[in-house]
Amino acid sequence: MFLVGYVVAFLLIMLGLSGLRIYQATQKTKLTNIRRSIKTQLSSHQGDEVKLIKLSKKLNAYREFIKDDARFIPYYELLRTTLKHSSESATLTEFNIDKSRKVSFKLRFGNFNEMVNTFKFIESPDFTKNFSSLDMKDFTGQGDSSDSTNYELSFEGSFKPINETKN
Amino acid sequence: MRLKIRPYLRFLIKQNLAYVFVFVAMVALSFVIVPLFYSQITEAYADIKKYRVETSSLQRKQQVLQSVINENNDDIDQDLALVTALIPDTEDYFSMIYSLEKLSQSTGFIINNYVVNLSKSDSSKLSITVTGEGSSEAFFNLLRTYNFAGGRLITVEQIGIDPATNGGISLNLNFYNKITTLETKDNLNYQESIKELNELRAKVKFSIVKDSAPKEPSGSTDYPTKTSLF
Repeated sequence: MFLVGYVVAFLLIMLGLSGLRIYQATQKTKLTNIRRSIKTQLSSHQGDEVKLIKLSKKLNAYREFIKDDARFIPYYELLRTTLKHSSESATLTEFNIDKSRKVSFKLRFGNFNEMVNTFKFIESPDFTKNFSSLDMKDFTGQGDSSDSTNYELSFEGSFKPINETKN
Repeated sequence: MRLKIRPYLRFLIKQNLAYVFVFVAMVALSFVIVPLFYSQITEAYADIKKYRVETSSLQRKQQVLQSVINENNDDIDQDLALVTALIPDTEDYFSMIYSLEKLSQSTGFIINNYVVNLSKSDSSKLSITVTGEGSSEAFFNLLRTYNFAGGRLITVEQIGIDPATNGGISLNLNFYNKITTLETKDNLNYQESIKELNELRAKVKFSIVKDSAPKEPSGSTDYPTKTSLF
């Protein structure tokens, strides 16, 4: 009985393993055929694929190269628009920006009160939200021939990145 | 001392010798066949796994390619011409000069001098310092459009202005080139590229293709040329 049981078990195991091998062979053949068929279809679009590879690689290069750009206009407009909210009399006399968004700018005022108001606005979150850092570097007051005084505030800092917009 | 086997046991062995032989043979066989099957099954399993990954990757590639081609078949050549014009395979000074002239014409900012900065250039970037003059409006037109309006990709790493200044303004412009190989080590996402191209196309103010753009991808020299520089 033991021997019969062993033989049956052995045969069943062999049968199972053979079945698994047959299933695997079928799967491999099926997958090979699918791959062959797709490769044939892909080869008919080889020309288009070559163009797409070139296109994608050029765009990858574009993404890298455009990082070199200071993107002057979006940040300049952002500063001008934000400043307009606080004062009409503030004149942006200098504006420098580099590709890492480090910025320096100068504001000129013909009126002390306007300067104080703008300065308060510059310290407010409405203005500083655009910057990751902003420090006042210089403050000058200079009299002119008409007995009025021009005030100048210089700032240095770094803009927060703004979303890509049309230049 | 001699081993004694009981007569009954001897009889049993004699009667079942064939079975005992079969049993021993099958045990021996199972020691050979099972490991053989096991190694074959493991190997086949690894192959199937690899084939499945490859098939799925090929299917995905086919679907993406098909969908991109179906949606953009007519545009691919134009798009390739556009990006190749913006970033040519190799640097050529004539297309750069043409680009500066075009930029000057389209913005009204007169570029009257340019100097190549070899120290700031490398194999894929050529830096040029341009000096020009024009109204504030013309200068701002230049600043708004310099990236693409010349038909070449141009960047400026640092810009400083005094809005009251007119004329005599210098800018360091970078021009780029990049040779593309067909090796696909990078994971290229065609659909993402097409999407990005649509955005880029919108940014390019003057269509390279409509203007005097090269029809062939490699035809970055298909711009008006002069037989003499002077």
